[in-house]
Amino acid sequence: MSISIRKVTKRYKRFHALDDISLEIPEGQLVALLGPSGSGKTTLLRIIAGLDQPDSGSVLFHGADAGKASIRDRKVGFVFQHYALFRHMTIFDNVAFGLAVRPRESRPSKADINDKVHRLLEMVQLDWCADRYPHQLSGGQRQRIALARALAVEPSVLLLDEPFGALDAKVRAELRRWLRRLHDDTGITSVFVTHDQEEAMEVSDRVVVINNGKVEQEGTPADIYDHPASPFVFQFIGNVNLFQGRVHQGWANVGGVKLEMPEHGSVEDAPAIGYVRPHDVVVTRHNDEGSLAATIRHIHAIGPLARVELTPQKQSGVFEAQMPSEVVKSMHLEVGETVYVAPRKVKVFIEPSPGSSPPPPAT
Amino acid sequence: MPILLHKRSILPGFGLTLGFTVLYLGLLVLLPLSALVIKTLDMTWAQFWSTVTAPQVVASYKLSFGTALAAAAINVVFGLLVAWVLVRYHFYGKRFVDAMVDLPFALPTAVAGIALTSLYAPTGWIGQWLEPLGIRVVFAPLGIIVALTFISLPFVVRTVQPVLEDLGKEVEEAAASLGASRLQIFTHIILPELWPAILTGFALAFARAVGEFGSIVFISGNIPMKTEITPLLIFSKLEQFRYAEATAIGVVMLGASFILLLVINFMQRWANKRMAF
Repeated sequence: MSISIRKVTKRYKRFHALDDISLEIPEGQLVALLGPSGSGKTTLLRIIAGLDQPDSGSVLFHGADAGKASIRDRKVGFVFQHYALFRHMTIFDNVAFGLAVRPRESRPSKADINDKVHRLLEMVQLDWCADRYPHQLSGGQRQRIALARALAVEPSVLLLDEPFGALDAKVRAELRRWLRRLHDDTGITSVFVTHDQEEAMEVSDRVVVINNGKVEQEGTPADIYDHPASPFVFQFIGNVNLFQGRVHQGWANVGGVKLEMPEHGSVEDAPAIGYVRPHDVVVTRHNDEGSLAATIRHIHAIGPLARVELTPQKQSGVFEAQMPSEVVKSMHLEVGETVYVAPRKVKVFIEPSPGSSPPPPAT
Repeated sequence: MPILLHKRSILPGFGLTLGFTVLYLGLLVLLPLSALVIKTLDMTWAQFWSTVTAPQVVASYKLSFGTALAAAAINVVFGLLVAWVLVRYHFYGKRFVDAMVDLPFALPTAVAGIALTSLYAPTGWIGQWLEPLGIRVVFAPLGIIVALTFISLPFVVRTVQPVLEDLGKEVEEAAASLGASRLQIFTHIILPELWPAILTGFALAFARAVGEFGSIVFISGNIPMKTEITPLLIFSKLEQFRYAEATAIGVVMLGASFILLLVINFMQRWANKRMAF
């Protein structure tokens, strides 16, 4: 089922949790709502679920307005960060709950419920713990049970609120892949909220970056990584180096490098910041035009990729360059040595003039 | 035990605090209770048996335990309701209502008894409306239940309240998303979580009610075989200087209360085991 969000606004007292958000979630996709904490992403998910009501705007399921329908009538599966399992019930009863509470005329027979619950438990690979209680399971297992429970009622939409947020890194990575496979098998329209950009990038078909109650950018993970639409997205997705500079009549001078910026042709001498990914920082030993002299502060060469920390000699701050470990070895780079740094690819954003919206927080 | 006592613990003072606890409980609880039993041992078994099974005494057991259980049961239902209102809703004067719950603790029970008697007497504010309906409160078992319900009100409220406060709204939201109605959420999700606290409240309310004396002497009228509670019977035995008989009845009451509390405790443990994290 497709979901349309039309001009949804939600306030808590004077705080704008969601500010006029419109969004389309196509049928069958796995969409990530990505943003820092307090950005409003969970509020949006709860409004889609019917757990909260928007102040204005509407949510449409398959083109029909969900209106004031409560979560009970929306046929959505909801998975909570802290699982929200019923701790006085066995795992079997937890998964069977949605079927067992149906009115008599639409309730499946005991044998049918039994079959279905065991099929779901097999699907989440936890069939062996049907008679246990939630407290006897690990976090990752509990979350899989929570998913099985949500899927038991065959929801048309699956909503997940930071589903892996309470788990440790290894279990998280495993469950991530597992969720992706599950989505590929069931094809159910799914929306999940996360503050972890890596998680959003790895699992989802589409990513919606949310900040301060607004959609910053939406697109495929590759799109968002390669073409960030705003400084905020640039900083939030992946590591980035900032080069102070200025833009004047279509030319940017960032960190000593001159770049043509036709889109800023009419700008007269404005402060700007160049954003460079660590893997786009080239480290050489010869002083070309536009290179910056920098001192190597530290080299982390563990695994195939090495991170080199540099302090520029004419600017403040620290840069990070990323390159294959072999390059570090073949160049014989050493801590304390002076090298020359040039950005391979820069994205320049003009700094907002004082008084307009504040610059995005550093991540 | 010596192994346990000598084991080094990160928390200091185990020996001192345990020693004090044993001494304290021994002086305060065990000593009076054993004096009770020792005094009873003055009697022969036949004397003991005829005292504790006399028809007047048996009638008083039934009344005492019956009314105490009834009052505790009433408080489970309405105490739960009060706790629910205090936790779930925000309204003007909530603090005041919350403080009012503890008042039956603070009031001398005799005062409560006199107040209730004058209210429910056939000429009282409430009694005058009940009398024509054929409902007799004062000098009847019903009056005893009213008084016991009053004095044991805070127990269920105060045991259920914190548990209800801790109950996450997420489980309720999860149940709603799975299609459960409000009633189903209450009976299947909330109530099972509250059972251990409800049982604790019930046990405390019952224990308090079964030993109550002050408020009942006024409202019950103390008619032998009809509205005479066991504590009052013991008191009248004492007035007649029949100390051994009084302690004998006391021992029976103690034993019965102990067994009842033990049963509630086991039920609670059973409920708790399924609730563990």
